[in-house]
Amino acid sequence: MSPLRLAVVGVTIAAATWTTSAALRSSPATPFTTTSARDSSRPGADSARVAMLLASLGRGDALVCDLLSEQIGNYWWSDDDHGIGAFGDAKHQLMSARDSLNGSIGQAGALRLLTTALGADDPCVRKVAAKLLGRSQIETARLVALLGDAAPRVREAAAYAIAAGHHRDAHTALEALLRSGGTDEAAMAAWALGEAEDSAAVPALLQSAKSSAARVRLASVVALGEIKDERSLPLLERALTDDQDAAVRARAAHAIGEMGMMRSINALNTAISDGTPAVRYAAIEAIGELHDLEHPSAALLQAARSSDPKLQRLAAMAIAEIHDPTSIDALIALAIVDDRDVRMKVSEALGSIGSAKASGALMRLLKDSDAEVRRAAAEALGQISENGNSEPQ
Amino acid sequence: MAVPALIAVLTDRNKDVRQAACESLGNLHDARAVSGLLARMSDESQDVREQALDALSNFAEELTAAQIMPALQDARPNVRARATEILGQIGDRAASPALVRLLNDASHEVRQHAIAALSQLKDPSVGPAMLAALKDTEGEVRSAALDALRELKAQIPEAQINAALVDSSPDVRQKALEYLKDNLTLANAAAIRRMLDDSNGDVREQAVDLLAEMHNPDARAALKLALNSTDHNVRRRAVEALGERP
Repeated sequence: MSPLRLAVVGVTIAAATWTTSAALRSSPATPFTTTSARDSSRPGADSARVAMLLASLGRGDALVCDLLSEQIGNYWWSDDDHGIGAFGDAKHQLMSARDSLNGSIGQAGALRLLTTALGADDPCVRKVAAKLLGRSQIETARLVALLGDAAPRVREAAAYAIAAGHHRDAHTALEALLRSGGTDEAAMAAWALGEAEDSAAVPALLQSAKSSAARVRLASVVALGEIKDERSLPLLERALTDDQDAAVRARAAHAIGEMGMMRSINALNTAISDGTPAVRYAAIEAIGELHDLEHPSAALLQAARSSDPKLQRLAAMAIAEIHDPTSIDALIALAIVDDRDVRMKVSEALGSIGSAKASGALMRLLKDSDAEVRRAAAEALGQISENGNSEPQ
Repeated sequence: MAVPALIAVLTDRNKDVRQAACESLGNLHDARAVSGLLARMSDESQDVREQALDALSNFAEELTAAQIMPALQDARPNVRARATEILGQIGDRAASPALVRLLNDASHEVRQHAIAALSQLKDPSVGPAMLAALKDTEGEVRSAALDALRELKAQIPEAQINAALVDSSPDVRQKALEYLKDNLTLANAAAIRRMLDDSNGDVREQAVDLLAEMHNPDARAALKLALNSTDHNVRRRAVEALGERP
């Protein structure tokens, strides 16, 4: 089948699935123009290439489409390789076609096809089209207009495109979508706001984090974790302890950890006894991220004695990270945990604390089966006198 | 208790463990570790050998030059350099011939360290070798050699000290001036006057200071010229020097 024929098929498929868009109809003749924010130095795919791609993705193995949707924008240009590393009979045009997907698409026909495909039935085709469109030379204003499209899936895809192309100055429109859109669009708008890491979006996200839809709350919490604005801590702490959705609680713990503020310690301690293991793990990891933690909490010390090996390991790593002299007994007890990373970390902590009380445990670790542990123990023993404590005789 | 346990892992099968044991035994400063550390001088791992020498530098008073001298032939420059440092600390002139041989080492850092060690040994017989080092290709080595010759109170022939005054390295020029401060009879006011216009500020100031200490009419004439220097530090020092001796 010739490329031309494929292109025609592509247009037909796209047109059949296109939901009429008010935003597009309002200015059908306006040409797409270049914005300075995107790299336009590399030529992007033309309309024939775009049509062929979208058509084949819509019909092929859904997995192939999914893999490609992740791949776009994630590979290096193949020029300068002179085909080395490629098979001898590989087609050189294919490489330049591949590179064209990484470039910034500017041709009006190609941009029209991509815009149309934002309404395609297949979610992966929509995603590929949105990614290519976001990274194209399209004006931010055009994408913002698409956020108000009549079709919810076009609005969702437009929000994705804005994030994929790092378009600035779209947060007001994304916030509007976050407030008024259905679950999928609102969640995508929240995600896009998080990707932009702009504090201006925090008040809107704090509102959407109280949505009745768990997916919207989750996306909002994720976004607040990306933005890392301390204004969101009270809400995140409440979400950690009170949200009915375990995924939201776990992501709240993660977001709190990203900020690393001591004020969150109580909420995190509470979450160590959450009913869902993933939340307990996330809470302990977040405690490990707190910047000014000087002593492990009772809840953390208890977790280090847990029969759940993963919980014990995470708690042990968090305790060892603190290098707190008052937790030396707990550290010595952890020196026998069946996990070389824990024993290594504990050795380092005992060395840095430098108390002669740890000599016995460290000497036992000199006979550890793992060489890295023996090395850490040997180093730690040298620090015990360095740090001002004498060696027990 | 920790020391014997650490000595036991000096022969661990893993080189990182042996290296850590060397480091810790150096820190713990317990003389029981010396023989174990000396044995690590022939470890197959260069990192372990270097760390062992590093640790042994904490035990110079427990060591003899003969114990350390084998490390002067090590393949790794850092190990040879460490060994020279320890030999300098031990201070036994028995090491002089071996250290003099290192003045021709391929590594300029080793040559520099060897000079520093020889300077610590205060062995006057190394003067000729040290004079040869003034012609080294590396400025840092020439500078160290000047330092050592000054420490040894050795005589530098006039031609060589004059060459050092116009060395490409400002550090060498400065060290040459320092040497002349200790050997004023060698100092030539005409040559030093030229250094008042040196491209390096420290050299210019050192030159004024030297002229101030020379106490002869030529030096005094040069100081008067220095009053017209564009460098205010030079002018200030010249004023001070002339003021002290009206």
